[in-house]
Amino acid sequence: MADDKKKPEELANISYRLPEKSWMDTPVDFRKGTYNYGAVAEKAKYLGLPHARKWQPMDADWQLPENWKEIILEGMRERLDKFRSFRIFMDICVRCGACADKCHYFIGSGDPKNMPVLRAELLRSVYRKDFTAAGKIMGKIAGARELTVDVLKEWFYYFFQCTECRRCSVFCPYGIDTAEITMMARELLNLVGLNIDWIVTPAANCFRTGNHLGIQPHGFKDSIEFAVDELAELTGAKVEAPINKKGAEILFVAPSADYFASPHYYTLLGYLLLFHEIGLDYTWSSFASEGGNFGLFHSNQVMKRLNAKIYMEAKRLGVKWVLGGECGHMWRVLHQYMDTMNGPADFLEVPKSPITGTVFEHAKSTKMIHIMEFTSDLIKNNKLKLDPSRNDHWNVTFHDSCNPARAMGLLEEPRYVIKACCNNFHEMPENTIREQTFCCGSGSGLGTDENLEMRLRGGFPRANAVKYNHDVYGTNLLLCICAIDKATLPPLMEYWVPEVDVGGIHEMVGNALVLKGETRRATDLRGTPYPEPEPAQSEGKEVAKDV
Amino acid sequence: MSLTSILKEKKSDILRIWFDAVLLSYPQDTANFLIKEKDRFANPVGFTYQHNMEIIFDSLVGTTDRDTVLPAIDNIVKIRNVQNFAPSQAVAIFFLLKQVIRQYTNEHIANGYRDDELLALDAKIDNLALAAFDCYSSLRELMGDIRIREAQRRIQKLMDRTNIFNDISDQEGDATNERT
Ligand code: SF4
Ligand code: SF4
Repeated sequence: MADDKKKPEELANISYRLPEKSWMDTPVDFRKGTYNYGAVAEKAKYLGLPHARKWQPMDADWQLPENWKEIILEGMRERLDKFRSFRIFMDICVRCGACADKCHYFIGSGDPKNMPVLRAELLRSVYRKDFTAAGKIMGKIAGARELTVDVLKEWFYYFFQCTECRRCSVFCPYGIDTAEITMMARELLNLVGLNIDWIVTPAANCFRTGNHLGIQPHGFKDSIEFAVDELAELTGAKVEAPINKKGAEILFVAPSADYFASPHYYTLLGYLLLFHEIGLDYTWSSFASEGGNFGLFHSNQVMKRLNAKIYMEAKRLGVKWVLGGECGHMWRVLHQYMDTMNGPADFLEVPKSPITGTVFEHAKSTKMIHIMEFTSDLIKNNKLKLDPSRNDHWNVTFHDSCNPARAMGLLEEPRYVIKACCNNFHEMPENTIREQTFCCGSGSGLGTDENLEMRLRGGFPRANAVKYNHDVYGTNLLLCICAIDKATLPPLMEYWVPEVDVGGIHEMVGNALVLKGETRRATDLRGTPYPEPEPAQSEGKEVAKDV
Repeated sequence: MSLTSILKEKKSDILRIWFDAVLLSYPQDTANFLIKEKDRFANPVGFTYQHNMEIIFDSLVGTTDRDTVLPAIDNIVKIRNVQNFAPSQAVAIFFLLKQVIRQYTNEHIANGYRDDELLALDAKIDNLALAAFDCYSSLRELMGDIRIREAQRRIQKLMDRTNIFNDISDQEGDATNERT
């Protein structure tokens, strides 16, 4: 290339090439739209969190307690001693890079500090400096660095840019779980009063009233009754939805969004119809009225306190076992922590379906199963009459929510139920589903209004796969079994694939379920009219799919 | 040789240089990933760039219609709109194409093409860039709408129950709810 010729970026007169500095020396840019607001002080106080104060990430001065550094390092020491996995994860990473390009935030944002290996390194570098001999002596050469206010700000920025989805851990040959590193980092930040509001406020509300919006028991009751009335209008069914019924066989706990948000609500209608049709002896609880556990995103202490309500209510109401609704992180808490945190629930029995007699041995210890397990068992045992043609206006695909898929291996049951209830189902590409599923980009408390830009970056790999399905198969509905997904996928779709709507699997069940003595349904559960006349529904037998 | 024939013949070279230039707006590690990972689902950003840049390029040599090129521009701007770029940086990659083409033809093409051809090409590229501006600003608006609708959906059924949205939509005949 001749010397007088300018490079393209010079000609365009825009500084294209980014300065190549070491990641350690690149400070965080708190660009609007990419970070979450700090917790409201009263809510933090309500939960008794340390150093609650009025502050925001965009403030220059974060008003840290004077001895903040001491607090963090002491907190780190304590956790390194207490959680063996934390120390191992700090020590064994060989920086092989297998995880580097697996995080949806890195893929969508192009910010190298969103590579899981670098995200962990933010914490590890401080660990090296203060807790390893090499780091103490050799400093930066050994990848160690001093804990400064800038480093702390960087932690806040990037550890609230990890959805704790664990996709990276699937690819790590050592099984390093960056999500757990994020959890530790968030706990440490919490020690000096650095929290985000969309975690602390819902957690405080859950603690106070049992659900994340802070709806009180009578409001909860009204919501359920409203749904019962709507179902009567939509289907003619006179459904019962018992609340706080002592001596019921089963306690049902759903994420609270199911009864006040859209499209979650249609899933609630589906549960109610299903329980009505099989005559289930169950109850809701107005005190354990939230399956989701925002404590998981905060600290092990808050998680434990919120989770305890489920067993307490099960005990108070005298049920035999617990059934959980379409929720994501409820299941992470349940499978990984509930038993040791709040168990053993020896006052409960091993879950047994009263309809099929199936005993759910795998839940012997927690005494709680997921509704996908329950419903797929009903279908497998031919207990439901289903007319999948009532979902023919939908061409569906399924998003494996990170927690049910990666934390509890709930991979087959949802697909089995979808296939029984929908005629048009197409999987997304293999490397974007099941264990390798891409996160919605808004989990773990990051589904807020203020960081929408970051969410749209992080959700792009998921949306890109949905778009492919839309283009190739005409997909128009994205199903999922997680309340956070139902809240955060619609905006993601609106931006990247506006032709695609979002729904829950039990909405499909509710549409397809042919009730005993049912008259023809004029609309689906969303109130969308079926074409006239509805395809051969009155004959039932020809179309009903017995699986 | 006409400029159009040159562009047609050298398409893959020019596209490669254009993509390299676009990658300069990313840190080195990211650029390496964007260019090396070929799986369209593992690397949606890299794929979207390359796939749509080709469509855009084809529009310059007259083989793509407007209905095809606008979505291609939109697909790229959608990404840059949410990444860490200033608005000017988000759309500058279209202007960059002018420089890439000039540089390439200066270096590699011995027989000159006519100036009016180059002017016509510049005008086409300017049009692409203007379309990108439109995309960018409508995407910002869309994000505002998305925020509002998300906040509404979060408590949609509470509102339905207390009849707040219904009153508004009844009066104004506007379908605020999917179902009321
Ligand atoms: S894959 Fe595991 S060992 Fe390799 S860089 Fe990532 S965390 Fe470290
Ligand atoms: S847990 Fe998920 S969000 Fe966090 S670093 Fe790993 S892939 Fe990224």
